[in-house]
Amino acid sequence: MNMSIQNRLGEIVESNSNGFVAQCYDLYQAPVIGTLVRVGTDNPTFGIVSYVSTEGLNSDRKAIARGKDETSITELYANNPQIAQLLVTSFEVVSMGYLKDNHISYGLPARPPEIHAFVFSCSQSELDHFFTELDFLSLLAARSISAVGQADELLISTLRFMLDLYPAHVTFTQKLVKELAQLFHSDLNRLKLIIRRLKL
Amino acid sequence: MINQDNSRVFLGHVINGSLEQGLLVKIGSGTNIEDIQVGTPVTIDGQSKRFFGYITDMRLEWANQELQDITTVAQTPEVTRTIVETSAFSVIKVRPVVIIAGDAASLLDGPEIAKTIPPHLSMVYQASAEDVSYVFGNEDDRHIWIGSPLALESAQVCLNLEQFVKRSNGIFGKSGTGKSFLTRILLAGIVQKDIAVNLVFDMHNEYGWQGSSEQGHPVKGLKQLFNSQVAVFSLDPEFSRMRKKAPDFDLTIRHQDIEPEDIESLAGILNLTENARQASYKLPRELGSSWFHEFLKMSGEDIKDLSARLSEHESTMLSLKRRLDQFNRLAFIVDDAQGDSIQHIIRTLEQGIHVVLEFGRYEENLAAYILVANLLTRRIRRQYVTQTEQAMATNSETPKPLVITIEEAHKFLTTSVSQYTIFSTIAREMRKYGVTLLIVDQRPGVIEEEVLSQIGTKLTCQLDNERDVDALLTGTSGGRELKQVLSRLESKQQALIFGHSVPVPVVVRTREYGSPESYKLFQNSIVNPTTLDLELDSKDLFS
Ligand SMILES: Nc1ncnc2c1ncn2[C@@H]1O[C@H](COP(=O)(O)OP(=O)(O)O)[C@@H](O)[C@H]1O
Ligand SMILES: [Mg+2]
Repeated sequence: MNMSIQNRLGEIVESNSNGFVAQCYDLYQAPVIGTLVRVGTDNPTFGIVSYVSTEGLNSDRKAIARGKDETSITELYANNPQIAQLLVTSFEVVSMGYLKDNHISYGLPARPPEIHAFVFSCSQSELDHFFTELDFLSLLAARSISAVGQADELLISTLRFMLDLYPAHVTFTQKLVKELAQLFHSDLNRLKLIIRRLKL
Repeated sequence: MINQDNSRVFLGHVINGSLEQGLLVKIGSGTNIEDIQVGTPVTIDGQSKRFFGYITDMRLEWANQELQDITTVAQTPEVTRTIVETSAFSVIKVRPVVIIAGDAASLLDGPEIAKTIPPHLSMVYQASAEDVSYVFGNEDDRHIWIGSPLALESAQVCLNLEQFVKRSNGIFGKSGTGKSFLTRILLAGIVQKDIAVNLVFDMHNEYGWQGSSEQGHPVKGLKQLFNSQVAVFSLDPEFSRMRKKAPDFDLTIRHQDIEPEDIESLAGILNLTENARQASYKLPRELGSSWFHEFLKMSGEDIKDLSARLSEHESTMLSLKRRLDQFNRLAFIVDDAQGDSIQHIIRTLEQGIHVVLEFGRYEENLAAYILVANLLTRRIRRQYVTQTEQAMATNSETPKPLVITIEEAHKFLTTSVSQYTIFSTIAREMRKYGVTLLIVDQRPGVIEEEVLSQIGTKLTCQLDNERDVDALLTGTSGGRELKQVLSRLESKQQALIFGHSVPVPVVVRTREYGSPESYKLFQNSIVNPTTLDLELDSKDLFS
């Protein structure tokens, strides 16, 4: 099994200019909100996981409660192997940039990724490359509220994801804080909330 | 500092401002505001011109006032600082005074008054040594090096002495700030470069023979530096003998030398009434040229007679006599049979020899100082007026300019007495006769406003009295800004120079005076470039 199969997170089932929806191969195996993911290999698109859902495979067949006699959820799944076949986990990604000529361009890709394109988790070097500049934060901030329907949850999750990548990197933290301060210079309440949530 | 470009230190960009108020310059992120001092000379690179000016003020700004709150939000000081830095910035205020480069024509003429301002985002630098020498000139046969500007020890600020002596000038500062040292430097420069002839009323005995520094080191006076070019006259030969430094000449004042005008100049200090002053003018007619002597030796009876003859109140005459009696005790006031030493001084000056008049122990006697200074100055002025008028009538050479140095000048020039002293006349109108004053004083605030406004160039050390500062700066362009600069001078050896003979106001650290090297600089005669060329030419001829 090669690397690219190992790192595969799912496959695109819906796609548009803003982003895409990918379905996981295994139930509940979606990346967490705020994770940077990659689509494609040659001129890959990068995006941030903004929403995760698990639901019935067939939209008019709702899940029903089955655990009345079970002692734990693990047992419930073990005793009802068909459930895994009837449910599907998928995640939404907002597009944030793409690689062209070995150079990251932040913003929306000119063409949305194709259906069935594979979605991968990013390698450390891809993460490093993408997070060298923070220009995507303004796009992310603009999308944050609409994506989850909660103020700045997506933004905060992404910032956490980034800070966890470089836990003791003072310069990176400073750069991030500086970018945020500039971004929210006219909305200080938002800035203060974010700073507090990140415990900076 | 990091932002260096051809040895110029970058300060920031012009972001705002006006010709009247000065320019606001946003400090570049590589520059620490704490490294910048008010008064520092700067240059501004405009689109097609270069401006030269100085820093007048500085302040801290927020692009976003509300961000001040953020200090309470973040948990770590680094994060707070990072957030603050996105909005906080420092601004310096710069006053552009002259244009030092633009089209070729203006370059040739030297600095030109700035009648415009540079556009937004023009780059502002600390002035370089070359900029400073372009604006203030280089030490040569007319320019004297005075000191170095703030933050630029390597540069030399020079003063054009030829321009300088065309007007009366002033050296100010409270006691112990370096006035006497600065005065020595200017006097020595005038002698060395042969710009004018000096007459120094050396009240505190520090300019002729050695003076001393506060640390007690002796420092050389003009006589020691220039020997035969300087004559020391003394009012108190005994003092000079005690000091084992014989003066070249003793100065005596004969009774007949004293004129009613001299009494008038003492009106303030002697507290003379208007009537007594008026009456003194009648005395020479009545008592002859030795009226002073005759009057002082009169008995009560004589005074009574005299009063009747002059139709003055006896009490007026008695009080005049009482007030003048103190002069009877002065040893330098002598009989008419003695030689005319005032004429001697005049002849000495005419020969181009500088005169320092030491007061010896009369240092403490203000009345004696004022009497002698007025009396001499009036005689000398008369001479200069006559000679200058003759010279103009016959189209011949006018006498060499004369610079009269007086310490404690406010004693002559306060509003209450200045109208009676010769010095205010000179300050007001004597330019045309080639006689100007160098007044050295610690209380410019009590000098008559009109006299002060006639002062061409002001060199002022630290002053802490508001009234003195205001008096010096009234009517000066950029006065409000200069006040900021002046009030922050160091307590010693730093001076703000502004006025007629400097194109731009400038703060200098006064050049060091008192070491053997410092004397050498005054004793070397300046090599005249033309003679140098001639020598080279003649060598070529013979090789
Ligand atoms: N140019 C200078 N060179 C060396 N020392 C100086 C200079 N200017 C001032 N000082 C120091 O400051 C002291 C006070 O200067 P001084 O000229 O006597 O003050 P002022 O005449 O104003 O009372 C001097 O004794 C000397 O130590
Ligand atoms: Mg002094």
